[in-house]
Amino acid sequence: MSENKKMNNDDKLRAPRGITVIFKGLDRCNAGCIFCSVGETEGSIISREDFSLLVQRLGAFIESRKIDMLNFTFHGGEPTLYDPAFLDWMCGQILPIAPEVHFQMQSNLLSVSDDFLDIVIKHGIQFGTSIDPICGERRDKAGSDAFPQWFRTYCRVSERIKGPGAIFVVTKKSADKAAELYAICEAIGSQTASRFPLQINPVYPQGKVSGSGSGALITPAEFGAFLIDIWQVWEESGRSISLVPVEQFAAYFSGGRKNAERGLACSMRGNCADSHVGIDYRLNVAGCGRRLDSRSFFGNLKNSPLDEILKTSEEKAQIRDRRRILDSRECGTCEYRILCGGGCPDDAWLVTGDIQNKSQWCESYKMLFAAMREYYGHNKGASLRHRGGEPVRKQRIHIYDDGFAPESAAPGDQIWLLPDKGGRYLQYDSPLSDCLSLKKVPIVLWCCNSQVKSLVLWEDLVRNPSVRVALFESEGIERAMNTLNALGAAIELDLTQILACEGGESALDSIVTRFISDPLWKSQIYPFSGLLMRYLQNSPAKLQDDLGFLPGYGLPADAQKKNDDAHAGRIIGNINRNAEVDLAQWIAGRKECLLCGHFRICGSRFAKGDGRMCNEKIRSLITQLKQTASKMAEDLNAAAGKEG
Amino acid sequence: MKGGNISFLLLPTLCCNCRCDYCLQRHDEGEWSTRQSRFILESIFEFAKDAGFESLRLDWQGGEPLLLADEYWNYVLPLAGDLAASYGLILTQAMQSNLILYRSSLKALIHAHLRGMIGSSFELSHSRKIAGGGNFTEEWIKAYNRASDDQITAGILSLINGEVIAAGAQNTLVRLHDEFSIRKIRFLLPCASAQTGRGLMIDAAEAGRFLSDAYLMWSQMGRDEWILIKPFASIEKFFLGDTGVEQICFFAPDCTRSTLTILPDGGVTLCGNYACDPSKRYGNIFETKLADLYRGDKRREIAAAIVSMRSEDCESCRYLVVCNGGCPARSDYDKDTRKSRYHYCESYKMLFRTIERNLLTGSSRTSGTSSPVR
Repeated sequence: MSENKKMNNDDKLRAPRGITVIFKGLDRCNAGCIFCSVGETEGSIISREDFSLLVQRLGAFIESRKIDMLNFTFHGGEPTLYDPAFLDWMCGQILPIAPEVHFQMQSNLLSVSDDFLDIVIKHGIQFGTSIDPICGERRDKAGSDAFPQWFRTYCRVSERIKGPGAIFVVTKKSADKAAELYAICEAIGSQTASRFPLQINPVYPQGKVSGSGSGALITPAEFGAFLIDIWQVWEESGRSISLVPVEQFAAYFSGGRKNAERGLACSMRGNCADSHVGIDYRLNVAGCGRRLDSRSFFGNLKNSPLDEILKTSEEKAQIRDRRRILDSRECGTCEYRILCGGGCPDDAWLVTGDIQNKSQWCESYKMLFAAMREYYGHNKGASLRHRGGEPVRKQRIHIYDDGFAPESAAPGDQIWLLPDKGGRYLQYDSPLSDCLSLKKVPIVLWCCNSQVKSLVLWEDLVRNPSVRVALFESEGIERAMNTLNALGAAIELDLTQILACEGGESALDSIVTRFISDPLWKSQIYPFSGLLMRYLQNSPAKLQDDLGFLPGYGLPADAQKKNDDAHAGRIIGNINRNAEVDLAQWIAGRKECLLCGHFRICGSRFAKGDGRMCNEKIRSLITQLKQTASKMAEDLNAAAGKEG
Repeated sequence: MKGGNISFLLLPTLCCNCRCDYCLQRHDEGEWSTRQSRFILESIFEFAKDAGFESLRLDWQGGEPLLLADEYWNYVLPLAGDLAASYGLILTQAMQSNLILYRSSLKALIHAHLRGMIGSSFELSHSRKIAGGGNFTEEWIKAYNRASDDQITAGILSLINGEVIAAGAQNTLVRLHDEFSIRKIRFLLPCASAQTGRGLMIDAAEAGRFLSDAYLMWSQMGRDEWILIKPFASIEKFFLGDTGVEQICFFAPDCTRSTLTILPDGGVTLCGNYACDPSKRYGNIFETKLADLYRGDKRREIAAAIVSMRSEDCESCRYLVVCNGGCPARSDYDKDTRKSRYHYCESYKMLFRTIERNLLTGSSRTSGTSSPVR
């Protein structure tokens, strides 16, 4: 196939089936995000008369272009501030003008009334939202972190409609927090028993962040590093969330090219001239919502029909020609051209003033593509360790309100209760307990020792077999564990962290002794339980268990649990194909462990795989575990001998 | 909440025909009308159903419940059964009375709705007194015999006071078993409150020795087949590994989840021990829906206060797994300010140690005041 033919096919794949209208029908918002690209708002809202004119113009355009499908996106401002009856009326007006109409809405989800939600459901409006669970840069009007309120609304909305996907904007503050973001989104997704759809955008130098003084702007290199970080966490976690555009790029590099392109965001399609149009509350027309924010208007529907505005738009013509221009420059020889299409024209315009330039984020995506090509292309020697050093092992959700666990902390796979050194109580009857009825997944409550006391109030939750309470501090750990034992909770210990604390070693020694020899000890303690069983049964740890860090491992067991043998077989097949490489890598990273006397019972689970062993403290602890178990076994044997 | 049991202590009146030394309650006038009782029962069943409980226990107490007329009991006990059937809930009803006013006219009702059992109070001492005079022990024995003649089983709550301690555990148990044919006992330790003061409190070590001796005798004599003594059997089962065994409310990790008490004026509180403490009330059932009271701030506040009451000693104690800190109300009343913990904590620890040692070694030695007598 010739290169030209190939390109034509690429273009065909991106040809729009219909048109997407980004409708910014109001200029009011109940949020105060620090990076808002809209800037200051006036509080205006479109009138019925103007909207009727919009419908008339848009209908005529669709009819004249024989367009089959209309994607009508309510944008803002904040579209949930529409009166529900007005929204209902607007949807009713739009519906007849195209054979197929899909409604979307991009909302901050700070306030959605039940009446409003009724209308959303009535018209099948697909919600999109935006999220910042880690830096508090999405704020409400009062300047408070908007995430708690977002979370509450998200949970409420998700009970009635499919959980909305969200956009995260990477800023200077969040540039090194990819792992934290991922962990929280993963937990949020488990709320709705689905993969949370997350889209990663860089902050735009526009609106409140225009100019260099805001401190929020990031460099392309920083954005590239963020993309690599979150991609690596995504792979490490078994691709547990839907991550745009990383997922599509990963699909491309691992062979699923068509699927990759299908999911690409508009900014990567390289041809948005005829697929998108933006209309605001004054009926100004621009290329899209972002171009409306950039005040780059083609015309106004009050003055001209839409068809005429678009036909005569110089910018539209420039965007149509942009690809050719870019190909004639450095993009023509770029191996990743097919994946980004030069990026969003507005990104180029914001930095260079010329929409026909390539996006300023070119360097960022190239960093990601290079890392992906190396990893997927060879799948050996590629490091999955992200910049932070330590892999993310836990999902985290913050506690925001005083003493309350988050309402969202529902059916998390793993839930982090923010350490609270003040020892505040987790409130009684927190909605966290509701998670038990929503999804049957393991839940790990990570608690600081001072919080454990209040778990008495969550008795039902901590006694549930799918829940473990994890501890990571040394001070007060014996009291905390005693309380958990009284509750019959399963306990998980972060040995590495506890041993790193002062007094951790002696505390764990006494815990091991009690665990093994105190008849009043009822709770399982992980990892002691597993280690002890292996020791007592003289059964070596399975290496496979410790390959669990590899992407995809664990899925076979899940599939088998679901009685999907075919699916499990496929996954096992994939693992086997890479097994030789994986095992060699695994052994290379744990050479010292293989010579350690404890290897049979720990299976090297505490080593980081960087060629070094765990540490002396952990080995000492395992020795203690073995000695105590041996002594108890001797005592029991002696007692049995006496009794004949 | 999905499944599980909830218990309601129903106090239709606080009036009482006795004036016992150790009683925690004031005997205020007032009682539920049948109309109020219907409203309360309907509220309870509606709440229990909506909250997802599977089973429900109604403990009718007072004051003295048998002060209320037969007509009242003929109305409310069957009504509760009918409501349970219509709401699809498993119902258990029980009554705690001093028994003095037992009459055979209630026989059929008690057999039909209270499983032929009635809880009573009795010990070999002079701490129980009939209001206006009269010998409690004599009157109680007469009532007990009337109930026995009607095939009603009367268990007893038995206070361990100075007289009982002096008599010793073995002698006490033998007399209760042989002379009075008692077959169900739950021992109580005297509690200090606004009503009783601290004068009735006994030494924690002596109380512990009494309980330990009583346990050892009980285990020697055939355990529950001899006399059912709460909570010996359930503690033993727990020590033997049955962590799911149902324990008395004293040992619940968080009793606010599983117990509610409704007072004669409609006040809702945690339990009878708080009946006379307005600061512990969740609200009033005639003013606020029970579900709102259950989920309300006051209950949360009390639950959090109970948890916060636990000392570090308590959190470190290996018997926490058995007692869960003990009864919060009694801990509150009896707290030894010098030690900042429940006055009788050491008594229960002695009992736990004795049970544990007995199960592990088979040792049955008592603390030595007297020998077991059959």
